[in-house]
Amino acid sequence: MNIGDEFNARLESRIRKIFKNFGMKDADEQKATALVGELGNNVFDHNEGVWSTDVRGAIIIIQNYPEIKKIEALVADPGIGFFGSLRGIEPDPPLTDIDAIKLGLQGISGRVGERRGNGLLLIQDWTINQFNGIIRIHSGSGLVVVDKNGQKESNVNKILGTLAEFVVLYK
Amino acid sequence: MTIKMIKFGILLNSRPAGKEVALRMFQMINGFIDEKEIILDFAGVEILTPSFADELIHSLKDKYGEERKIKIENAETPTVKDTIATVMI
Repeated sequence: MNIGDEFNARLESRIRKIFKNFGMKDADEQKATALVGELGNNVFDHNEGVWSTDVRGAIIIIQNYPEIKKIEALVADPGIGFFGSLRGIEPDPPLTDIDAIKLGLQGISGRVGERRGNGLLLIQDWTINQFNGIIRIHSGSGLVVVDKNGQKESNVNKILGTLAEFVVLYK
Repeated sequence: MTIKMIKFGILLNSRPAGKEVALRMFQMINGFIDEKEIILDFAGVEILTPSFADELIHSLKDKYGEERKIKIENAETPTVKDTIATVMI
């Protein structure tokens, strides 16, 4: 089975059930599942054929804080990262990991010939505007955190690939 | 012609899956050469991700955009509505 197909199957059979079991309302559970789905799609869309090592796939961690109705969900992959995906774009390729993450968050895509980039725009809209939440993206040595107050960026310890996390408050 | 999206699942995710559905639809649509509208009916679909929608809708527009209108009906849940709104821009 294709590894992306396996992710897709588990999104429905496991991830969605996790959110349902947290007691989220339908609309929130559907959005949270779509958020994990879209982050997972990016892992496979941008890394298949160019994985940095012989380790492929994504690790998904979801933590619920039921007393304050907060969920943290993390999708991590050992892939080429935002910089690796975007370094070939024209006319202004990113110079740093932070540049690359910021371009990705603006909807710029490294996949030539396709109109894409909508995924991260919608992820930001749902997380920040509809859940009053936070997005953290750590890729390479860059970290960009986005919430309703805007973007904050910093240089951090270098990792292989990307950690993409969203923190949401649900009802 | 109207295509019921629920037949492809209640959770529509991933770009390869969107491409696969587009290819299936080409087969279905090509048999109806006089139809001027392609209606995608999302009744019953609970989750639609941007990757799937982008691949499907733009594949249909690239193939039929000039000769047939693509319409969306019954985008009921917030994820389906928001995703369609983003992708159709």
